[in-house]
Amino acid sequence: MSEQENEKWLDELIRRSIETSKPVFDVEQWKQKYPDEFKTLVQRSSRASSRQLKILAAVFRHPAAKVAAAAVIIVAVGLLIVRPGPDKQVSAPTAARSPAEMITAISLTMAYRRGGMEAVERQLDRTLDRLGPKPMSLSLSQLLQNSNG
Amino acid sequence: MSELLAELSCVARQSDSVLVEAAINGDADSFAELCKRYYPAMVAVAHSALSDRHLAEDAAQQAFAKAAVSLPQLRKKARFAQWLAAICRNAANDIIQSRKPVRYREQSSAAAAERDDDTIDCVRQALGKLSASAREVIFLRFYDGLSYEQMSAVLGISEQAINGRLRRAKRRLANYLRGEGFGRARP
Repeated sequence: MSEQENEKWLDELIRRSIETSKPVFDVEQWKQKYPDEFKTLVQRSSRASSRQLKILAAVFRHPAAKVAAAAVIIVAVGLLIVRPGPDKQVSAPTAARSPAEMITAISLTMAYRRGGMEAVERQLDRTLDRLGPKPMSLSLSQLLQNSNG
Repeated sequence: MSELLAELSCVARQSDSVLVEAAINGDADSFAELCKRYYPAMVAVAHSALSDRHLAEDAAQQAFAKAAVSLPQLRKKARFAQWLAAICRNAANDIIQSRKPVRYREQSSAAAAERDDDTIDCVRQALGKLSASAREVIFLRFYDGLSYEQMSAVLGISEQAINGRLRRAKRRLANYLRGEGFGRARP
């Protein structure tokens, strides 16, 4: 006899011999039958939320945690004080607004390296001559180009 | 009402691990869903050991009660079904030990008593001759027509291993029953 034929008559016999109807779980009946176990199960939900609070409380009970929290607050306040406000804008590099500003430290340093104090004086005279009465119209690059020769 | 139904269907779609995690945190609905999901399998496991449907249902419910208490001890949440089956076997063994030793046969079902002819008696005897694990796999397969995947979750073995175990168990049953004159003239 083949295994498939075996399966048919055997499966039929097994089904007839054991009560195989699907059992259905009745939750309410189970709760009534095992009230203590159900209570233990449900109580865990309140325990879980209170556990998180206990952890926080335990952390802040420690002196080191208090010091750390105070340090964090001080650093945060310090940062707020030092940080520039949103209305304070960093000025963009523009051409100098006055002849005095035009003589930059860079151009003067370069002139000094080329010919000492005499070269610095010459640089100053030349710059003032070239700028004339309209310093705002001169760009920074033009100024530097003129100053550096 | 529709919100409640939507919530219930949402719980029913969750994986075992998610439901176990929620049940550990005290969510009764998640635990109830796990119970509904595995009740037939647990009754089958207990029935294979106890040979009594009503006692099997008691053992399964007892297993759920023990699981409700000791659920936080479960480390691998994906193995919930396997862990529950182990609890259920223990509950069935406790029931066996607390009562007088009995031969493997259906005890209390009125429906079974009506059908208790020679054939059924003989099949039950044959089932009683199988090992506990072989009998368990037969009951799981025939109880609610559980898939190999579901059986694998409950027994903690691969689907191939289940297939092999089921084939060997049925071959042994068939051999025994053929020796008793079944399967030839009375298919």
